Amino acid sequence: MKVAILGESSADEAVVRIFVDAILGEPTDSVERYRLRSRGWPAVLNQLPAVLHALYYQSDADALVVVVDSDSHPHDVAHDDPGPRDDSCHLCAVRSKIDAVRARLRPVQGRGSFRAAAGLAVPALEAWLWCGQDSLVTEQNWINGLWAGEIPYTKLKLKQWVYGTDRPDLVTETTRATERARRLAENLAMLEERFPIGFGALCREVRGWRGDLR
Amino acid sequence: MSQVNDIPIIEAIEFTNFKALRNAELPLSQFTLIVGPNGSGKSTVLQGLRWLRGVGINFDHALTIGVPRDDATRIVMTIRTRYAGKRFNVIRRLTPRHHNETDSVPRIAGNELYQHAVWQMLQTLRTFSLVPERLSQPVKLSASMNLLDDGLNLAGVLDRLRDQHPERFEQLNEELARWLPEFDRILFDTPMEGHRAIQLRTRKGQARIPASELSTGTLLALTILTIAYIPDSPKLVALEEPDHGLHPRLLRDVRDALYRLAYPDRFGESRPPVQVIATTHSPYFLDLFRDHPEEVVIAKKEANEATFQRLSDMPNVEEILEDSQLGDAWYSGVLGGVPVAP
Repeated sequence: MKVAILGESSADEAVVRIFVDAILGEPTDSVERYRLRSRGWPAVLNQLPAVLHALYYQSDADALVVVVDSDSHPHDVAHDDPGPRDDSCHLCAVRSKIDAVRARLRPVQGRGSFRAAAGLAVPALEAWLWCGQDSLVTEQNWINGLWAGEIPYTKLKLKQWVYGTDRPDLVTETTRATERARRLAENLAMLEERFPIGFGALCREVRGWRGDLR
Repeated sequence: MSQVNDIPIIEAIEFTNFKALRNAELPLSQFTLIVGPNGSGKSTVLQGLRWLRGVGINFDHALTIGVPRDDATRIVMTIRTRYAGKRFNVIRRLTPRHHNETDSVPRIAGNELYQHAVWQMLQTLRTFSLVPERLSQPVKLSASMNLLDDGLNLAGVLDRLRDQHPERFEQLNEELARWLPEFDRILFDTPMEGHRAIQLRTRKGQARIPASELSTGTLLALTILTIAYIPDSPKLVALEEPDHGLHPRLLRDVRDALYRLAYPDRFGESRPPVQVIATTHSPYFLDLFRDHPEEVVIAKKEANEATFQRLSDMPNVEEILEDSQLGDAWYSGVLGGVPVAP
């Protein structure tokens, strides 16, 4: 299966690829034609329409996976209720954009269905990577802290934990992040349990593709 | 006794009557990125640093426009330093009659160590405004090869690095191959006796491309990497637009290279940290400092006068930036530091 990954950095995209492969239970191929690269939020959101159009019309990609950091805008399950989405929520904003673009796509002869999935790392991808190292690092803990006005850890603190510095170079960041992702990929259940909204959503959507594949 | 292993740091520089910097204080960190419109004093900061090092300036050319010129007029730079937990100032003055009048490091009772360390930092600081044509020039080898402000001597510096620090030279080659995957190695040519020129070898076909045929961006990337890998770095390095001529996707690597200089311990290096000052006009480069607003200084110009403000000192900056990219926010004008009509 050919899957394009769009994240906030190349290191994030390498991590997401590992998770997507683990969720699907088989390795995916990248879309060689496009070496996608974003540069943080909201660039991901801004370039999403162009990426989706290009992948759909000009590539043989089967799917796109988008994973972004929540920053201080985590997803609430209430956002999934019928009605307008809360576009201040990064996950809702990504989903809205994907839906809007897909609704406008013209049928293309010979093209199969094009799938898309979105995930949300609360507050940043490094929280997923630190999962299991510290029981306090969970989606709910961070969201509770945010509402209480006292977040339990910052994005910079997560970087220090994962990379040993809050200013990792790209090679270190990618190497350490993918090492941790490979270990975590062997225990997705833990990630899903501790990050049920953002990681859980990604798992559910990607697993939903399996039926299409068979 | 003080910790002699400490490195002096410049905490701020005050400018008086120096071009657009009539009355401005530039706050500095271990790493500082200055953004602002043309003519807002960024290049003047580098000129001031060169002046500190001993490069002369012309009083009449450097005096702020509109400041009356008489015998009492002074152009002044006050460098606020910290070393081993103590703070003191170094003052550089210029009068209409005496170019380069200098008050050297003030005496500090009983502690010449401080004076020496700070003075050494100021004398060895380096400022780079790289000129691509200079980077590609063959150079005559000498016992001590230093990269000049415009980038001249690059071939000689790399030649010395290869001979005297082969491990670092290999690391540089590896890093260069990652930055510019079409090349896999730095090679040298001897265009005439005692001279060196650089070539880069292509990964595909192993062709040797002379420096004169390399693109501007390639030469600039190689130079920035070289600055980051020179083992005996000065205590302070200032670079004018290190992003200039480079593909935006390389900017993260440029930032990493400069961080390697500024925070070597975080990159597993044991050498002393280098205080780094860089300027930019690139929103993409600025984006990379979103997590560290204390490292960003906005240069603002109103009428003919420029001032500086550390981004983290700006009221409500986190709320302003919240979901925006730093570069976009700067470009929009909400942070200042953009051209304004006179």
